[in-house]
Amino acid sequence: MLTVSSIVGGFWLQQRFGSPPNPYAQLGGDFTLMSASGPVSLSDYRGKVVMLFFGFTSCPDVCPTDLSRMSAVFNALNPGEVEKVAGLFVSVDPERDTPIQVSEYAAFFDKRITGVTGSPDEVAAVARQFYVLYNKVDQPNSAIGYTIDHSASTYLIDTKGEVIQLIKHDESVQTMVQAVRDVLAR
Amino acid sequence: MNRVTLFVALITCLSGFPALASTLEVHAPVVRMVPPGQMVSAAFLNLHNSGPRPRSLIAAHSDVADAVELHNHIMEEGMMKMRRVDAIPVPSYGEVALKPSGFHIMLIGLTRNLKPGDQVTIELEFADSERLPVIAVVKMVGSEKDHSDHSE
Ligand SMILES: [Cu+2]
Repeated sequence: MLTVSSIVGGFWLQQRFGSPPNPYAQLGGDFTLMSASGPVSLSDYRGKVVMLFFGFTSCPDVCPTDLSRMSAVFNALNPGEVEKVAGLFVSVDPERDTPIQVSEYAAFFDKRITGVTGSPDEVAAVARQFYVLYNKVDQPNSAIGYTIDHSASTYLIDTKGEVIQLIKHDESVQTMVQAVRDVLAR
Repeated sequence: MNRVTLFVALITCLSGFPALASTLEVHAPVVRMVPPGQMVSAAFLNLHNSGPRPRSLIAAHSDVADAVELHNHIMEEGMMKMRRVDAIPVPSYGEVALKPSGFHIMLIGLTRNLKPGDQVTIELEFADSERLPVIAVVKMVGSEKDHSDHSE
């Protein structure tokens, strides 16, 4: 039960800089996790821009909001752009979420979003790579039992697998569409 | 029964219908559509208070879930944190929005699968013991700034 209970990662980056050097150069890197239809690596998406989000399926509000936004971004892009964009949802709740559940959950919001997870150690390693924070918190005064506080930014990863930008949870669909286009145009 | 008694009876009867007596109005009540099998969802709405007294929403009730709670989200230490709250204040001559990533009515342990268009009855309870019934429609709820998702 302790596996997801500790804060992973040390600090949080959300500033944006328009010019090089890439402030997110230290973030990210390849990883492999499991979807309903087998292993998925970030490097499978070379040549595409990836929208990457971390959450969990019993997340009542934040994750649906971000996955709906991801879907809205897909819908706003033209077909040529959509071909070069992928959506990835990583569950940081491997105690409850199986790969099948995560994949089905992501597909419910948009078939173009792939849901993956792994063992608690694998998930923790990926979270560390991306400085994603998550923390399982008991809620003794609520029927929900426990919730997982977590980072709520979407990572934009370019065609070479590098993190280029973090889109904050409260940014609009329009802002995110523009950001995806900017990364596509790099 | 004389005329005065009848009048009193009538007033008593009317005040039993909060919708008629209330200075509170509910706009755009929705319940978030969630995948089948999902056990939690949330209800969102705007609460408008046209009266001079600040009001306080202290509970919500519905048979759509085993537990119905008032919650809020706070962004803290780089993480989105959802927490139960005791009350949601509704300012005088003002309104409060229950919306994604903010205040919401949390539905925990859904008693049935939700389908888009389903109607869910929720009763709002205020500190002054007024109760306000609301019928919320189940729909996909996008991010708050995605106005294309709002049908009004
Ligand atoms: Cu909640």
